[in-house]
Amino acid sequence: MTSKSNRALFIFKMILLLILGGATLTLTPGCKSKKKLAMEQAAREYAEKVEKAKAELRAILNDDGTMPISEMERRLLDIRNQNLNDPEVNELMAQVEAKIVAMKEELRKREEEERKRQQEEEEAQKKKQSYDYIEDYFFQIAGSNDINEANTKISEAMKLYSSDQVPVLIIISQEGDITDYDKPTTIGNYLNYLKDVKKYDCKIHQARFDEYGQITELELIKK
Amino acid sequence: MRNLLAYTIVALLLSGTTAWTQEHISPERKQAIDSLALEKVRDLSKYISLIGDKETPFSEATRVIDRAVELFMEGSEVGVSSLYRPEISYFPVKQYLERLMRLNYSRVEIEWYKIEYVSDLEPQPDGTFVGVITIFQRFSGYDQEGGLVYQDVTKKDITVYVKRKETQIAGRLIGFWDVMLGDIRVKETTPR
Amino acid sequence: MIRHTWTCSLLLLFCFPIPAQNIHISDLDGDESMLYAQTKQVNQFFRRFNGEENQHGERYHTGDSLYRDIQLRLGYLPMLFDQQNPNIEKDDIKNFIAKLTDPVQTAFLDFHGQDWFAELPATFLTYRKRENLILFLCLEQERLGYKWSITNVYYERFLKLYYKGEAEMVMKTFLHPMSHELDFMNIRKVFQNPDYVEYYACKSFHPDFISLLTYEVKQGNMKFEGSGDPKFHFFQIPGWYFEVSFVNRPGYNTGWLITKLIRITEEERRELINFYQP
Repeated sequence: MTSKSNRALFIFKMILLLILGGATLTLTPGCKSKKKLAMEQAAREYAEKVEKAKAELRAILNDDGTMPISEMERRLLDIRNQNLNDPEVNELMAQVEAKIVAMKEELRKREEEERKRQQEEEEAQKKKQSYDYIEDYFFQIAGSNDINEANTKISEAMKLYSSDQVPVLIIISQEGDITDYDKPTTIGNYLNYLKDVKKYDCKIHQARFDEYGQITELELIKK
Repeated sequence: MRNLLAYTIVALLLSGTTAWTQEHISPERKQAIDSLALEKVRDLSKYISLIGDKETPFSEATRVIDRAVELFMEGSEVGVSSLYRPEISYFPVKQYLERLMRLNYSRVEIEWYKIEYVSDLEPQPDGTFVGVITIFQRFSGYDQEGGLVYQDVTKKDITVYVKRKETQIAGRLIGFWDVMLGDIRVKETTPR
Repeated sequence: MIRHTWTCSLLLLFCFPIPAQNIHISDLDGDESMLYAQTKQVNQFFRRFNGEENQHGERYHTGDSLYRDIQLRLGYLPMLFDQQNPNIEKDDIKNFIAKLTDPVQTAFLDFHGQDWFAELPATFLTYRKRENLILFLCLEQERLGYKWSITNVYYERFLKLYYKGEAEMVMKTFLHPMSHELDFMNIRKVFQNPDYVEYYACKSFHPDFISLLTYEVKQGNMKFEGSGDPKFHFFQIPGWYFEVSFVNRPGYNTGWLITKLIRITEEERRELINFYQP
């Protein structure tokens, strides 16, 4: 019974195939015009996609910085995934890619500079704090009420230095690589100078110390 | 023309008997050098006030005189004239300052006007720059009773020499501007 | 008119602060404001004359918008004349300023530009007698910079020794053209009368008073005693000569000012310059 019904099913399928095949043969001229339409449709869609991609890529290239880099990358990836394989699109994609690389490099540099600036600022702040104890004496000597008070302060201050002959350099101007100094003096003379002119109008640019922590050279800069 | 020449000669007879080194320096650097020169002159004016002040102990005054003299080129002189003695009297700088210290008044007031004039710096034949800074001073001398016995206002034209030099400090080459004061012309003036 | 412009300049002067010195003109007391207005240095005379500094005494440089500005100069120039000097014609001042500020051909002074001279009265002990003379000097370039050099000496003692002979005698003072045949035995006559000795010199001879002065100083016959107030003579503005001297008096119109102003022709200019620098 089963074999009988199997055969019947086979014959039915064969007849159906024959019928379908004959129908296909009779229908062929009508199917051809539809395909053409479909192809034209596809070509139109492709052209539209190419134009859209070009416009989008150009927009990225012309962007003045409002579009974030991540958005540029996302759009570029979308376009690349479309595999448009258009020479102009490929060229524009290469340009966008270069722009993204340059922008990333720029950003990296900026971040690096900012980090460096912050670091320098912190160091300068630290340095400033660390030089405060030296400058305090300068202000005290310049602001002394009388000669005895000033001389006492000079004696105290002198303990910070390895000798009264420690050189004191005063920068009067800095322009590019050129640094102009006043005539170098010694700390002994400089402290007495502050006492006489009753004014301290510099700040400490840098100080050098010996192994005992005493100052061996002082560089000041005019405010 | 003969008349004009004759007039000039007659007038003379009547009255007569009576580089930055070549390097380029920007205006900003020049300004810094001018300020440095002006500062030396202001230092000198502070030293003069200290030396003249009768409250300054002798030992301090002599130390300040030495510091003031260090500001000057060797051989610098002060040329003084007054309205009543128009001819110039010359004093070496140290002698001038020592005279100021020994002035026979009970109290001395030295005031500096807020007027300073800085000339251009001109190169002299050896390449050193030279300029003149003008300042004005009012001097008042009082007797024991506190009465004003002498007062004058003087114009001080101070020569300033500026030369770029280099020196080694702890193995480093330091380029500095050596500013030295030179001759001073002290002339009594009549603002009132 | 001059006084009016001067008042305007002064008002202008009083309206501005002096940042270089961190003070305002209104902070200055009477004396100070007068000293502030004073043309304190010859250098400042040049800067004010040319319009090269502002009301605060700060230097203008080439390229600054007001550097040598005509309006600025019109404000400064009337201040630079000794306004109490009756010998300066008001019309001359007006014409002179018009010439300086003519937009087509403005005229300026040049510190290094020659044609200006210093006149310095000096006293010498000459053969133990105190005598006055006048030295003339000019600014001269040398090596890396400049220096003042003596260009002439005006000294009566020297002047009266030369070319003061009687006309009749002068006519006879020469060595005749056949003197050579006599081995110049007549040269004795040249030195017989010292008053006429110079008439025997060639026509191009001019007595050089700098040589005479330096010779006498070297011989120890003349010793420098002192010098007086200098004056300056300017020939840099075509068609004009002016003198600048220090006016030391109370008031605002003081310091280095123009104390003489004369219109001159080119020939007069040449002759005058030749007098200061033969």
